[in-house]
Amino acid sequence: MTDPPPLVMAGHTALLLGPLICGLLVYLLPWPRFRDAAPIVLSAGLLVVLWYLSGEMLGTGPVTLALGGHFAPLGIELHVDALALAMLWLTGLVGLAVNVHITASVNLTERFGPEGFRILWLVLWSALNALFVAADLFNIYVLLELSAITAIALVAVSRGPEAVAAATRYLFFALAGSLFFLLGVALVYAKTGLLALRGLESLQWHGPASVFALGLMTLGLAMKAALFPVHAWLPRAHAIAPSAASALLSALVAKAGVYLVIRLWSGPFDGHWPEFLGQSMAVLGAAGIAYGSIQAIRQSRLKLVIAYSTVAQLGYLLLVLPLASVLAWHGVIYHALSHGLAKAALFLAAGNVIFMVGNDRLESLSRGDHRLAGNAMVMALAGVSLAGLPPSGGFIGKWWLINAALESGQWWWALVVGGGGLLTAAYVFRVLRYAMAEPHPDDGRPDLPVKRLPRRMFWPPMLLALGAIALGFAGQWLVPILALGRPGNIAG
Amino acid sequence: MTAVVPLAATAGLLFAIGLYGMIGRTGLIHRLLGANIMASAIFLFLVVLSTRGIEASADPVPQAMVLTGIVISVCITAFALGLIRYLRVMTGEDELRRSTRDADGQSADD
Amino acid sequence: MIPLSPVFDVLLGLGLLWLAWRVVASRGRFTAVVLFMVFGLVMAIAWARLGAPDLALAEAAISAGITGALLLNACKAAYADPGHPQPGGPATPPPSSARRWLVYAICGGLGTALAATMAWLALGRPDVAPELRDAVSGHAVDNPVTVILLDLRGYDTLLEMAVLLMAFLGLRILMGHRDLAGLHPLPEGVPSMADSLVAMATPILLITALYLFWTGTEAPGGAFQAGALLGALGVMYRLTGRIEPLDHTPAALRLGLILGLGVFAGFACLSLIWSDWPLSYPAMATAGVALTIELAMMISIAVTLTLLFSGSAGIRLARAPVQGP
Repeated sequence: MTDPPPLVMAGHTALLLGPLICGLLVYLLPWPRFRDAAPIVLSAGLLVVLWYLSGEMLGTGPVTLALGGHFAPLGIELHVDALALAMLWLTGLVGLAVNVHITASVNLTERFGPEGFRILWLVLWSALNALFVAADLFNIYVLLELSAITAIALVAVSRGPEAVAAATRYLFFALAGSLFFLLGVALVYAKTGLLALRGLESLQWHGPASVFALGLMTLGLAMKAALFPVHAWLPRAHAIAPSAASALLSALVAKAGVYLVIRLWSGPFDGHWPEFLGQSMAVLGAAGIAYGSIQAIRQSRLKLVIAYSTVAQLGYLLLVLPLASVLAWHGVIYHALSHGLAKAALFLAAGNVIFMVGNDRLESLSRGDHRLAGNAMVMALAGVSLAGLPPSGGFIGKWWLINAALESGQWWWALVVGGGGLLTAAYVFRVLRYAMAEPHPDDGRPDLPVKRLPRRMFWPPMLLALGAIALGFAGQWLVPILALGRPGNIAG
Repeated sequence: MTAVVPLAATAGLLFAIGLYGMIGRTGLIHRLLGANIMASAIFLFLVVLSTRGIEASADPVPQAMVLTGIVISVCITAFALGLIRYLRVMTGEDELRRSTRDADGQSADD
Repeated sequence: MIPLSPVFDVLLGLGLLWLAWRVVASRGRFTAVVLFMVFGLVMAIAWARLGAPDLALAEAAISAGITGALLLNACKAAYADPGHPQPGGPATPPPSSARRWLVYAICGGLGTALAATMAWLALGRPDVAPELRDAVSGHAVDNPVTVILLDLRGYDTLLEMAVLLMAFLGLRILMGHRDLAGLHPLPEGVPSMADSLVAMATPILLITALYLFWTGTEAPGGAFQAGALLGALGVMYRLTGRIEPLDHTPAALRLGLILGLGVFAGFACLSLIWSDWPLSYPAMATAGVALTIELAMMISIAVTLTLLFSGSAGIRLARAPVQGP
């Protein structure tokens, strides 16, 4: 095991522990300026670190690190490849946007206090960074619990009865999910004596026990990621959380669950599952796409539309299981990245709407006030990427997935992707129709004045949405990075 | 080593009993107790895995996993009880009702 | 492992199953909680039987003891007072018998499959990897579980301290609201025996906790068990009114809460100075550093568990003298 340059490990330590230590400092020190500024400075610093790490990885290829220098089977390993790097970048960019946005969301600082939001988010950020590079089963379990408890607290942070009910429902799903996952881990350890993913990959331990364990772990992760059909907690929880929290939950936390499913199926359990199981998982993904999109079309509140859209969009990522090809792998990475950016932009924009108008009913979007127009632009750009219209990152992701499906002869998945795109366009355009509509002349409701939106709240979602569009132009340029560290089952 | 088979089988059945508590009962306290029983079942299995008889020393890794798991369990239980108590005091509910209409309440930013 | 007849193990297993079934099937909450505490104690006996005394201690103290106290407290606070608002809307209809049988089928099927699988896997469990065995036996710290917890898999322990802190913060968001009655039930009247009990228990628990902490590097014990005992002491003090709730968290208490996580995370970053890897112990002072981290963790665990039980943002020692008999 060649030792990577020391700065690489230091960089990863910063990613894993930096936000956590910042959170502890924010909790201890009573200065509001520090609480606002420190996370933003940290975000910028971590993006620089990511830039360096990406450059290093282009030279050395995917990297396996170990905490304390104890490689498996002694201790906990980390593994960084293209997918992990993409998710780290997503976390860094969304994190920076959220950190800037919450400095101006007055409601947050006044009503919730520093304990209410910032330290929860900072610890969640550490946990997410760690989840995306985790390569040890029990470590993943502990990280899942940590991210769940912070996410649930973020849903409940406003303390209204609806929020607490949504958080409680989330808690029971997440708790059941963790327990199923831990049971699977215990079964794997009983059979192999190993917890490291790398060790499990090289061991020959096929058998019914491994499929049983995989099923239990997948069920657990599906509950946490709100995959169809165990998704019932997500729409209300993401709709009722503060919009900055919803952005984090939809763009990052839910994605971590699907990320782990893909990791497990294409890593240590590769070759253990029969073909039809892969097709079945993708069928569930397709069902999620259909169900989520149809429900999104029916909603009358903006945040519920966006929340159901999350249920739908996560289904696309499962298509990599039956379509084990390079193009599908790249497509999934691209889709995860652009969906994260677009979804975070949408939720932050929804938060802006609520800030300006006071609620998130779709009719309020047709107020016709020019201040809402900029926000509508953000939603339009993000919606374009979500629906997979060119030019956008979402388009490239879907394009590659469709091509992968056609190349491998499984043309029905191409229909699923295309159909999903149409349904997405349906609910996106429905929202935009409200945003562009003329206000009804005899609307009897007395209009509250539209508040002015601070720049710190407008630009983060705008830049995220522009990022999702910009990904549409960067496809060819990013391929060498995307090609780093394909899992073994992906045919070259 | 005679304890291994009966206690491992017990662990499996305990998990199922706990699962029944979580999905078969509607009262939130009972569901939480069911979850705790599921966790205890997994810990029992891990402790069984760590035993090695009288002569050899035990496998320390599952024992460390159990210790970590116990602390995480009590944390989640404490937080869950806070949510349950809060729900009960604010709304009088002691189960999660399946609401027939979409959440019409305001989002948290209002 | 003590060589006892297999009948004992079967009885233990049946006892656990019967208790668990009574917990999930009983009508009343109080009954269920008390039976759960008994279940926890029997589970501790089972683990002692399996040769894991430090785990048995942790299970009895944390799972049966502190979790039981939390559950009883919640039942009393939230369900005993009939003055709470009544639930609005129609009552949930009892689950249809088709659904009930589905649940029974799922649980029964899963239980059987799991019991068979787990028994079979446990019989054939592989040996400990030789590198692991060598690393554990050659370590400066003697207790193998402590080696795993603090050194080899220290990152998991660090994250676990973070979960402790997050549980408190999550609870603090909910319970720190001073306007909500019913969230801070103060003890109505302290029974007269409580003073003597606390007077006896304090030195015993303190000394046992400190002993367990000190010996944790060589024999079964360690920061978690010690912290749990101190937390139990805090729970007793809170129940007898010697500790009062506050609606804010004083700075000293904040420090105590984050001490374990902060020291561990700080150590993780500092170890990049003397090694290429984070969370690696300096070769010279391994036991000393481990003990320091354990001390910080013990303090944090004790403080956090007491605060989790108290359910308030902060605590302080009671100013008014406690009423004697």
